Amino acid sequence: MVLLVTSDNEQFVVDKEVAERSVLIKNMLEDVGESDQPIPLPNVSSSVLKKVLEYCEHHRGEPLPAADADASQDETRKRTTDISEWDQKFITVDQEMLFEIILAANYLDIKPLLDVGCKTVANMIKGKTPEEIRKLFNIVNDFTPEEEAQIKKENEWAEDR
Amino acid sequence: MNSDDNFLDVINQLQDAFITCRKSMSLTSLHKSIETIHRLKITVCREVNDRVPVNTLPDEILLEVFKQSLLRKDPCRTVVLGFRSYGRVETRPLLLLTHVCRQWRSTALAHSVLWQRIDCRNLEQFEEFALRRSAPGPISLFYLVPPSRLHTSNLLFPIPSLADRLRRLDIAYPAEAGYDNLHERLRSMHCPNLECLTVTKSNASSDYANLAVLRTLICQAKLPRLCALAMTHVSEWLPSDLPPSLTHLFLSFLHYNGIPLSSILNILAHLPALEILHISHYNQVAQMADGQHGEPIQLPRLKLIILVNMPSLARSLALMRPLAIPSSCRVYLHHLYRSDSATSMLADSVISGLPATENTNRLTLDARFSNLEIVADGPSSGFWLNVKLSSAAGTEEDRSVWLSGLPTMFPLSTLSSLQLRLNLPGSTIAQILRETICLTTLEVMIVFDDATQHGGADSEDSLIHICHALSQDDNRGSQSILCPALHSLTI
Repeated sequence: MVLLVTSDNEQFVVDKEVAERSVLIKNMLEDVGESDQPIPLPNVSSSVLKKVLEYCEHHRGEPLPAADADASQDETRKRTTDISEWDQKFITVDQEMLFEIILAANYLDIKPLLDVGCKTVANMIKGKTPEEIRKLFNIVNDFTPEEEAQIKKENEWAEDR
Repeated sequence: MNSDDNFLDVINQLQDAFITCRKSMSLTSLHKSIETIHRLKITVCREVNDRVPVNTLPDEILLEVFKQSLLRKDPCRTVVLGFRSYGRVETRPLLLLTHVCRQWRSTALAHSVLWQRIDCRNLEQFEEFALRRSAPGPISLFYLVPPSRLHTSNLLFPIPSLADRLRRLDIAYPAEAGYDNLHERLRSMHCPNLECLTVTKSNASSDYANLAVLRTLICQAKLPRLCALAMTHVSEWLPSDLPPSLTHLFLSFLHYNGIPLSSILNILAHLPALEILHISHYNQVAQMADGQHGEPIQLPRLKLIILVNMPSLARSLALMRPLAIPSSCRVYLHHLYRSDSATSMLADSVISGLPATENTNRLTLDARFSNLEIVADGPSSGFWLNVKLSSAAGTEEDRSVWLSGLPTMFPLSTLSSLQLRLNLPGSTIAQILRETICLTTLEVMIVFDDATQHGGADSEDSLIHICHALSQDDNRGSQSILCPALHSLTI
């Protein structure tokens, strides 16, 4: 078993096989060897780690992306892997949690979870106008008049068919 | 007072000050105020955008999100083989991403990888995309030659300036004539890294310009790394000296069919590395016999041969007959317009000689109305045929001919799976089943040509006949005479 400590000082006792879905934790465990020392995760809060561990538990035992996979293999995985039904349900969370899961997956180096997160955000964006995207993510238009002029020109390129 | 209250208080004071002073303020001062307030607004907006959850993602993740959002599930529309003349690269979704906010724009503009597959119709757009946003990486360019440039000396302005970076060039032309300048420009073109070239036309009318472009581009331009070439609306000329490194070749003869078969075969004879061959709309009857002479053309690396929209099965087979195709090469004959019994007899002899059918272990024959479809699958090979039979009246005879020809076309004795979807007498089908001694899965569907046949006595008779034949055992009662290994039967 592995002891993980979150940024808000909550402790999680996790099966090693589950924890090692994270390449970061796997490497740390390899570095320290057999030890009861807790592993601090200062960039992950308890609520987010709970979700991340739910994902790792569900995907326990599945083959991990090869560490030495070259760029083309990586691209193929990203292109061909659709979001499974379970993953879709798992990632149906509020926006704040969604982005925190993505950041945690990035920090903990859990590539498949990072893919699921990125694809989910990408699907939210697809087919939307800039105004719709702003509304979706609470972004505001922060372009200067000069930038707006350039954008207007580019819109003409986009419409030029 | 906290920061929130403090700042809002200042804003309120500002508003009050404006109401008090506005009548006495000069116009110049009012304009300056607008500018200042606008700058402040943008600063506040940027502060907001820095904090929204999506913008907490680091650049490399935002980039990944962008890439994912730009992925398309359908094939690249640049050249939709056989039908459309051209399709532009869809740059609109990428442009729209850069219009959301400053952070998204700077992330997208900072990563040239997003801008490597671009569309270019005007010089300004080209300079922005090709020379700035995608630099210095490799580039794939769709270039629709604008009619306004046809008569200028600077017709192909974009290409020479990025020749070294060009990996793929999709070049499309409008139908206007007058391409002398283009010809000259191409003469000096040198694209040392170009791997894929497609040449299409936006209109089906006269093709002389396309011809000139191709002749120059392929013969005189230096394209040492070219491995994929697609030419739609091939005119009366084909290059005879394509680079031997070519692995992918697509030729469409949609509106002109003056190229003799011997020319096509001559080209193929000099492409030993060819892996994918795709020919569309070829209809050169008079020259069919040419291919029947001489040594077979060796294409040892061919993985897939696709012949679509050919006027008949006979033309397709005539084109394939001189080719020595490896057994692992998949053969795809689709949308062939017409066949008749005589052709079916020809099919017997040629299909049976195709290595792609030698290892067939799963076979589907689907003959509905006037269409015939055969799918033959092997462990490392495949054969697909879709042909329109001669006429509705003659289809039953055609079907019978095809069905009776199956034993010579495919190794029925090694089939493990057979699907038959057609309307033929049970006795004819049972005759075939005598050959399929290793069959484990059989599906027979009697398909009616029209509603009046539905549920008719003939179809019942057919099914009864098949069931009866399958249930007959040898005299010892231990094994069925037909399909003794059968595990699964669907009727």
